[in-house]
Amino acid sequence: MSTPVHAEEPALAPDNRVTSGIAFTIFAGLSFALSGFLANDLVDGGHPGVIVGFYEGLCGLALVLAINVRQFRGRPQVTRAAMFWITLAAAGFATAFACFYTALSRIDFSVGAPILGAVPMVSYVVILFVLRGEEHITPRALLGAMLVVAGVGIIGITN
Amino acid sequence: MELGIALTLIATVGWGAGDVFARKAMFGASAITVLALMITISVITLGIVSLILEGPGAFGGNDLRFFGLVLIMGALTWVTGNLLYFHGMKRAGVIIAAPILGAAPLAAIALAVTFGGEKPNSWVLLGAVLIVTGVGILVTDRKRVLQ
Repeated sequence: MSTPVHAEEPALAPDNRVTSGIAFTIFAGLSFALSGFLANDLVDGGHPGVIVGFYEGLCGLALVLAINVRQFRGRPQVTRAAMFWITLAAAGFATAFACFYTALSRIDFSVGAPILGAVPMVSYVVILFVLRGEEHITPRALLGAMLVVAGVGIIGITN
Repeated sequence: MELGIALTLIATVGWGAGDVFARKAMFGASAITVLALMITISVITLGIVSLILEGPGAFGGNDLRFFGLVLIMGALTWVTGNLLYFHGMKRAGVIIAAPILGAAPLAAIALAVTFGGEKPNSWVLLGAVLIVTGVGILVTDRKRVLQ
């Protein structure tokens, strides 16, 4: 078992660190919504969902490597355990992209997107098994997540 | 229609579990390393699946508009999307980050109302209030614990 790597840890106060993390996540959410809208346009135009996901990933890889070229000059530090979890995460993401983009050829984006609002609940279930002892689900976090899922569910059903 | 819903539910499980696995990986690698390796494996997987399901011919015959849009999507999904989300997860933890990301449909509604001229009904407004309240509770949770 290799020692954990804590590269890139920002030197921020814990509270500021969390707040910046929340801001990053909100911006990420807006990006995902826009990207899904564009994917819907391509899939409706007759392009297979898996092909759209493949080329999107290829472009994303090129951009991520180009932006972070300096960080990848040396050999990145990855523990064997981390590589295992990365492989599992990649399998999950590849399955998700292939399935969702294929689904968009059969359902409207406005129907599919709210269903994805249940992602946090799936994450919470997986956290109970995978991140036990590393992250803790507080009652407030659970209440907040349930309200978000309920809100997304109401919008999805009434749409 | 039913297959579309079923595929979306599978995608929900894939993203929900994938987020946590990525967060777990970040205890042994930096967020950017996790992301770069994840995209590489995802692209290889999607390439093999595409070959099996669609055949080699599906990779060609795409016009300039297609490549322009997938380039924008690549930037949105993997750079401003997942890269920021992974940094967000590393800083705030997946317990806080995941539900906030799950509120993304609210942004879609805001866009539809602002630019599409749509008028939301009372149910949509109720859903929006619940989402905003939920995110508010998450954002102001001072007892959140990392590692």
